[in-house]
Amino acid sequence: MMLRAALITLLGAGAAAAVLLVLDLLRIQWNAWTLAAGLIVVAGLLWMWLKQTPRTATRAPRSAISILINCLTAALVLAHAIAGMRPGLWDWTDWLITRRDYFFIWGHKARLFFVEHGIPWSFLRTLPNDFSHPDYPVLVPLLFDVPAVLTSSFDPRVFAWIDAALGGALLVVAYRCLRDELTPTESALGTLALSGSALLPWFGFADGPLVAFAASAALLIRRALRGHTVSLGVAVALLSLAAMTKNEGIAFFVAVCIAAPNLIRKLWPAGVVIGGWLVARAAMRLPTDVFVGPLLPRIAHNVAMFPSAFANVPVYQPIVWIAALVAIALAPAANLRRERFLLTVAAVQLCFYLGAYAMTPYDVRGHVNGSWERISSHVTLLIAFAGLTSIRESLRR
Amino acid sequence: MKIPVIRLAMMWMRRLLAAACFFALLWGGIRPVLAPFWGVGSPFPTIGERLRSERSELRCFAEGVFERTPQRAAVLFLVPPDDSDGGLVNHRLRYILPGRQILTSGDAQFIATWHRPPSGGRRVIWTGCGGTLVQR
Repeated sequence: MMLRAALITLLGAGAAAAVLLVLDLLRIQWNAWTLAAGLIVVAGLLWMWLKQTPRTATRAPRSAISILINCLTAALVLAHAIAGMRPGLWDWTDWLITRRDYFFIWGHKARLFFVEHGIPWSFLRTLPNDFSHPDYPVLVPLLFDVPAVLTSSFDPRVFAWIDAALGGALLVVAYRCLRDELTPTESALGTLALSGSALLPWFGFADGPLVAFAASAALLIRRALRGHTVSLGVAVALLSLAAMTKNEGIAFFVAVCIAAPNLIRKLWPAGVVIGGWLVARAAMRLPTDVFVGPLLPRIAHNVAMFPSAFANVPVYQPIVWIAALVAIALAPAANLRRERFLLTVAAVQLCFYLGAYAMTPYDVRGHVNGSWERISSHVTLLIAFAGLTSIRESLRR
Repeated sequence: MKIPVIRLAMMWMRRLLAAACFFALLWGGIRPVLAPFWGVGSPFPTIGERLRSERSELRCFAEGVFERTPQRAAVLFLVPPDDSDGGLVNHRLRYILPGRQILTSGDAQFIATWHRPPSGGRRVIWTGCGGTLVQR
């Protein structure tokens, strides 16, 4: 039941944003009525999907202690939403560097679309790429616009609730996947330990939704690879949503294809979505910056700067990374074999990020300093999940 | 006899390490979510009251410019160097003025000057919140 609610939250969020996109493509002006009509259609589709999907039975009854721990995790999700409503986060007068991406990219686009009642594609093309990133997919600004259009007012504090809802849904998916291998109490404790990896502190950025969609997809695919009856269609839909969240989501799809080559034929719908977006992006001439100018000299220069660039920048949740990697190293052969999929996805994704840093046309040290902690959070949950299952195996021996 | 003892010790050591890893994962996982309430982790320093007041005035002026300029208008926004956010003030202002082209150099149909003398010889559209909006 909870898993289905979580999947509905994730898919519903993507579908709600898609409704705004469809309204824009059909040149229907956004307002509460047109959006509500679209959302009713989406709700109907989700209801039909629910009726067709068989319920998965839980193997063992939940213990009182596991329920208590799950309530603690739910309280953390609530605390995360409350923390995201701090006025300082959304105050334009606080010109914090840590909040730039909200005001320069995600919040700006959401406000722009809201004010214009649609997506001004030609205007996006005129924005400079250095900080505005007009080439990024538009799912997150559209998602932020859903409550704004419904209420006819733009209140960014609502984005904290969207972040928390998506992060909470990811935690439910993680709990369900842990339950396949662990007892209810162990799974509940594991989910509690994953809370920081799912509930990211960058409110109003695309990283929270990206991790929610991408990590949920990866965990569901891992489940399928381990022989559980899982509808890969949901994972494919989540991969598509991740790809439409940020360019890193497109890289994540490629990483999944590399990690599970035997599934590529089943993942093709996500590839079609990504291909469609890339064609549309090229047709609309939305500028991208990674490939501009002479590449080889830039790569040589940037790679030489890597040691100083990464010297003082930790990954997101370094304690979690260290603990998970030590846990995996306790029985490396068995743990790497069991978690090959998740660890390959994480490793390939990190390689893509290093490649992007190598090609960046900006100062590589500034680029790394401004983003490495945040983008390493994209795979932290996968590493932590592998660490948790490795810990359980070590304690069982 | 010696080998089973060593094996047993290694087994216990592995379990101990695994338990330590779990508690580290648990602590590392919960801490960032609670950090905003403890005042640890990623701090969100706030600016001084004087700066806040000044930027509130800039925001007020930018909102006035937004109301008085058409969609897609190019607006040359001139602010004192101290308030230029290292040259990124145009990105800051885009959030307040969505759909306007914000320039910080060159020429444009509209010129918005804030805490600076207004451009002369042009039609003044609005004055308020510490700034003046003129049209060519």
